[in-house]
Amino acid sequence: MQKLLLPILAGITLCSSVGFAEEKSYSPYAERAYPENVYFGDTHLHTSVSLDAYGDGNTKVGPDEAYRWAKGEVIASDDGMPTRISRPLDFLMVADHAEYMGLVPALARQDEIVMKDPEGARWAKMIAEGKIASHVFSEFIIDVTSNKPRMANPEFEMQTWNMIIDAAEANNEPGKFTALIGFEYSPFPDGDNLHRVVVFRDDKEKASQVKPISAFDSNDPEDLWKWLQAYEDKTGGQILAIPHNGNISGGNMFALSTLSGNPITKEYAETRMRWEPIYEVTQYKGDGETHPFLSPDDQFADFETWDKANLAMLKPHKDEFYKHEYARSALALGLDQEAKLGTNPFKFGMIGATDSHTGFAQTAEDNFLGKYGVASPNPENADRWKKEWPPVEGTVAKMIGWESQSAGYAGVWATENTREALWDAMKRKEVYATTGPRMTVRMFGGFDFSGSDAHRPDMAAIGYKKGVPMGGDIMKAPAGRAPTIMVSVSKDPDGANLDRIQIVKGWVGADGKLMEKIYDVAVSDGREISMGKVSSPVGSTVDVEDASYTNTIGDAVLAVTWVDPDFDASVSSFYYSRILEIPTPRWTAYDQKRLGVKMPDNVPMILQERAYTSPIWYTP
Amino acid sequence: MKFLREPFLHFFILGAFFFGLYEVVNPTIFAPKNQITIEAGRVISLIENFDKKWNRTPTDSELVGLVDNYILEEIYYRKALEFGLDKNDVLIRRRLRQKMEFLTSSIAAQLQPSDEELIEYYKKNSQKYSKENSYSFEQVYINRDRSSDDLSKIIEQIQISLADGLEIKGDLSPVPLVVENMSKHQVIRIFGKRFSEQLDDLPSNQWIGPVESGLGIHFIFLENLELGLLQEFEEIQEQVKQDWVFEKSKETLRAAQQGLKDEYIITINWPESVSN
Repeated sequence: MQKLLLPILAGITLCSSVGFAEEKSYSPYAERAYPENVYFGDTHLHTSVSLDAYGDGNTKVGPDEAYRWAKGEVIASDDGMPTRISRPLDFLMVADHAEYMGLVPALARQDEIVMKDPEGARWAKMIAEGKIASHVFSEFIIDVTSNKPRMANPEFEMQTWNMIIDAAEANNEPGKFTALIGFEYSPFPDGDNLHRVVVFRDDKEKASQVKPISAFDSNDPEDLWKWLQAYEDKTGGQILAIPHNGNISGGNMFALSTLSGNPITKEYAETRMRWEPIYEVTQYKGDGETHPFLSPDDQFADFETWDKANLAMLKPHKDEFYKHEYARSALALGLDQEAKLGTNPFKFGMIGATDSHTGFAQTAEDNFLGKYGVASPNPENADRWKKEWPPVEGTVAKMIGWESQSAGYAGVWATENTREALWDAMKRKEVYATTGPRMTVRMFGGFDFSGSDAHRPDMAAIGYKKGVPMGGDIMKAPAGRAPTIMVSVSKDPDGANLDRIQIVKGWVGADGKLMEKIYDVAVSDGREISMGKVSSPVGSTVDVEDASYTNTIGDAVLAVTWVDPDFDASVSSFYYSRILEIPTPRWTAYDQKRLGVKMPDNVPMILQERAYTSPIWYTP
Repeated sequence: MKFLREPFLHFFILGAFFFGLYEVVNPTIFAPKNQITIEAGRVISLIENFDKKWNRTPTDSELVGLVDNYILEEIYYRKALEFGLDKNDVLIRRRLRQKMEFLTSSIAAQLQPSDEELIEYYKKNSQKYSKENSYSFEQVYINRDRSSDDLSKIIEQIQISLADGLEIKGDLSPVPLVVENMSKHQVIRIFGKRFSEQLDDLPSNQWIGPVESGLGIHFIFLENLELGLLQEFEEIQEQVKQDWVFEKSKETLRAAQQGLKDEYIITINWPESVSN
């Protein structure tokens, strides 16, 4: 019996930390230290190392510079202008593309290690002739989409990977700033985006034992998951992957069949959820929470929408793709599949990130540095709002400069600012997405919260004791009781006031239809809420011509305990919070004012920044 | 002496006279090849571009930096021309410069500092290597989301209570009420920049307010401001070395640039509007 005691205890602890196999929904946090701080950062930043960053105007900001900038140092961009982040981040992950990692700077410098390859020498010559954007990059795209690298140099790849790891190690300051180690696995078969950012929990000793997997190895995320398993088996470390941009995946991000053409299975669902606990829902290439096509009754659904085609702009969009591309419908689809397969394949938490390629992890509307260096806010670049992308021939559509979103960040509820604690928080989904501002958001779900709990100074302690935080599970509602969701938000201390807190509920209807309902649960300025809808909009203080706003509307703090008025204890559902700020000027308004350009009426000048929490799932 | 009356000579002398006159009036024809002149119009254009980008005019040191930056671009461009590359495109100019800079910065990457150099650098940058100031304070928070009349009344009440030596209470605070030994970095994270900027100027051991922050209104009792101590060299040696290499490579580049500039006679015609 003694021998079994330890494994049994470990088993119980493990089960309770994942929140199932319990009779009551008691929180596993009650007895241990819970997170008291939220940390803001970016898990998806590209530097001059990435194959598409250098040629597009970032030749100077590499991994070391990027980490330093995030910490608050002054770094010069390519056009020589010194720039500094307005407030340091708490963490950053440089996630350069694994494909041809570091190759372009080496070719530009004509390093021996790449020049000795005839393809390398040829490319180096073209780069010297200024043909990088037009010719060399086109060849890169062909290579990646066809999985055939015309140049393979494992020694060079490891050299680059080690350089990136060293930059992370040099800039990692546990307790003050975390430099996570990672990279981006970037497959896009037929131009459909299936990219994932890979996050190591570990440091150099483990991470340097492997070479990042790239699209050249395989286009299939299932092979990524095998690679992740191999990493853990080999090193004893821990690792996870974060997919993003379902909106340009050609309907494949949350598809019900695998890339190899088979319907998804229970095993697929388990494997996917083991490696991909969270999803990057908002970033430069569009906001992916929902789409007006899927949510016609959601007045805030059409936000930073990017939906014309797939990533490479080779495949036009079709209506039947939408359901499999956006987070809200995917979460409901997950419940639908859970009933059929026995496991939920799309049970993900949510974060935001930038996907910036300038090396600057920046999201402020009033200083949008652009995704690529050539799109920086330079008077010489005054027409960046109308520049078309991608800069290659033969596409079915183009994205126009003004359509880019200046977003986003991840808010992570970790017990401390270290690699291990941040990674653990991502793994258990205690995270939320913001489109840039740093509002503090707490959310708890349970059956025992009272109305006053949300307004107590020890609200968090109560939340962890009587329920579960965002990313958690509640189950088996006691007879006659409905879930109580407690949300408390305070604004970004240097940002705009809050308009409202909403709760988005999703489930699968009796007829198999994906259902959703949005409730306004806490609103500013003493407005009334009736039947889950606020009586009036918050208004706007935005002066577009001046690109300014004032905090004379909205509230600094909003908090509420909400009870689901439409609860059916027999139906699986999810709840997440969406928080909206008051309207503020968009980066296009700042450009119009500062660079003296006039944009047409269809270009948005105002936006309401928002946050999306990870869901809490209810299971009967 | 007959040749003095040669028409050809007269023509020649007249021509030389006119060339000389032209040179006096417009001294660029015979400018040496290594002459660089920055016209007032160029300076003004740099100022305007900066203003458009950053929404303010550059400081004196920034302006000098901008002009210097432009001069270097010009030099690299000319050097590249000397090497036979003749595209007059802004992007190409920059690329050529970057190519040249690689040569210098790759040398810098090989640098190894001596222990003495490191310690000297550490001492020179002691502010950077000091721990941050650490703050201990109490604060009372007042939510601004009420009528301005109510707000004034509440602030008044608090001030009266303070004058009477009574305890004060505010609204439920989104930020901690009691803070002990919190670094400046953390204060900015939690309370925002606006709040933290005002902390350093507060007299200690008394309630001060109302102080405005992005979150609302505060009354603050600063108990202690502990100035950050310099960290021991041995504990941060690795970081000092990395910073030294980072700085040194920038320095090496600047020295190389100065060397290049020394080859040229540089004239800057500052416009009158710039009082420098």
